[in-house]
Amino acid sequence: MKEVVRKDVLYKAVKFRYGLNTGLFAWILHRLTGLALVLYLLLHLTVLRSLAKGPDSFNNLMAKMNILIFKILEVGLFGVFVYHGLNGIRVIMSDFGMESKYHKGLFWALFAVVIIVVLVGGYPIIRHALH
Amino acid sequence: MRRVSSLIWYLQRLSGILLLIGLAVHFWVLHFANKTGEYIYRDVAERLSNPSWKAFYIVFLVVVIYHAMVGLRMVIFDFRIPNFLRRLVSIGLLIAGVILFLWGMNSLLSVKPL
Repeated sequence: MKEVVRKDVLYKAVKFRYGLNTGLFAWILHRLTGLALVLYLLLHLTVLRSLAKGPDSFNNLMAKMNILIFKILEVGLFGVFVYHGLNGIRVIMSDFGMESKYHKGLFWALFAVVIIVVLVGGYPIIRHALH
Repeated sequence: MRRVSSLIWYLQRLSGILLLIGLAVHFWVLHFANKTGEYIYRDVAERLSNPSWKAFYIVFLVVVIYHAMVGLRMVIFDFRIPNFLRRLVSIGLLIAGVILFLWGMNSLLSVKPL
């Protein structure tokens, strides 16, 4: 019997596999946060060069950065780090076959944990700038 | 070569876990334990005069640069690029990592107690 490839079924399958699903969303976000963290690392090491220029240079630069907008950016950075870290654990779990059939739910639970951690952990970063 | 790639892959996971712990410590010291919210040279110098802290930050620097460079390599390798270019990227990132480490170490070791 001749094998018939039904293109509509095939396309449906392809669309199902390659659409923006939870796993792909998590992966894209992991890549983006990773790139952002690499950029931040370069920025961080550049700013810390002021340590080598002596106490006054470092203290002056840090004083300039001790304003609300930088603190808000720091909270954002913290969020990026928390997501990348927690999703990293999820990736490691699935690499070693520990991810359950509830992986989709696990991802969204992780997302909720990220938001809670950022709210709780973000306050200490921003508190001094608020008062 | 495959064995090296596999080792890089494992170390990326290991460095990720170490970074989670290291960053938690770093964050705790700079934001939770910091009573004024300011970053002052004297505090940095005091911390780094303790050999344990200095060792912590040296290891932290190595691990973070490794994780960042290997992460970048993974992102670049997701694109289909020819083999010679892959090798070039690997060597380039290795050199960049070493330079970043020396640069960071220089900042770290330049801190003297007041």
